Amino acid sequence: MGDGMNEMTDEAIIKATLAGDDDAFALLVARYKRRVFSLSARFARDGDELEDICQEVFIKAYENLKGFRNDAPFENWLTRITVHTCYDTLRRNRRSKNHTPLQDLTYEVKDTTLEARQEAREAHELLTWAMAKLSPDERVVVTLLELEEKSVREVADLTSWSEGNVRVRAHRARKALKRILEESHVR
Amino acid sequence: MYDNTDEKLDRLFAAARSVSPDTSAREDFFETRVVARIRERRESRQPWFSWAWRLAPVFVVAVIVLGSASLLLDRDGSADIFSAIANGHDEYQVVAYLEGE
Repeated sequence: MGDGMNEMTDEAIIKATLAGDDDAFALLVARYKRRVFSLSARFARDGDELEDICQEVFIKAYENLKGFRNDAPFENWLTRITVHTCYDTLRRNRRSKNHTPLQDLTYEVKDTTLEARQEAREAHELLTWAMAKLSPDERVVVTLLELEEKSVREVADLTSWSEGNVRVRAHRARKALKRILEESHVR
Repeated sequence: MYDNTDEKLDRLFAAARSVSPDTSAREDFFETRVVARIRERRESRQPWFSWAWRLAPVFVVAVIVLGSASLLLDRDGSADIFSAIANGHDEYQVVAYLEGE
């Protein structure tokens, strides 16, 4: 892939991909993989599951590329696919009853002081453990609203649920998380 | 109502936001793996007529077996259609003579 390809717009890359150029699609993957990985890592249980989710996202994107309309940015469309794929994975995991709360990924903490770093890591572990107990729809809503800092409208757009539905699920998720934290504190 | 648990939860969310997973090792050559998987899927999803020719030997064998079987079973010459018509005609003439027609 040359420099010329790196300067191509998403629209031009998509056109090239649809014409059968696999290298063009590889460029699109390289451009957006960081975004897909960081969002999927909020839901994946381990590194292997993360890889599977991300591959599934890009394969779905490739197979449905003809249906992509340029009226919205490609990133939004891809984020929607990512959210739906993560939601499907959560539902599959729930059916298999295989709960593995801790992830094998390493985490970078933005805060530089050692104490703050330790605190953030512990908070993250506690929250990951508590969120693993939520239902898939509650977990998706709370992750997008609280961790990804999306608005209710954006969450509704990403999940294809109504804004009212998102609010109800967010309320329920928060209530459930509070109960889980209280119970864990009592123990 | 906003209580202590709400505050605790907000603190947890804020702390979790400041933690970002390091996925860089997983991202290496990811695009190569995705494109390889796409090619693999494309090749495994060929149209039905691209593999139908593989059934040709089966049809050839079936034709040979059926042909041989019909030849072996029809060895008796009287069973062919012309002798059947001729025999039927002779019989008809004998019956007509005996009945005085």
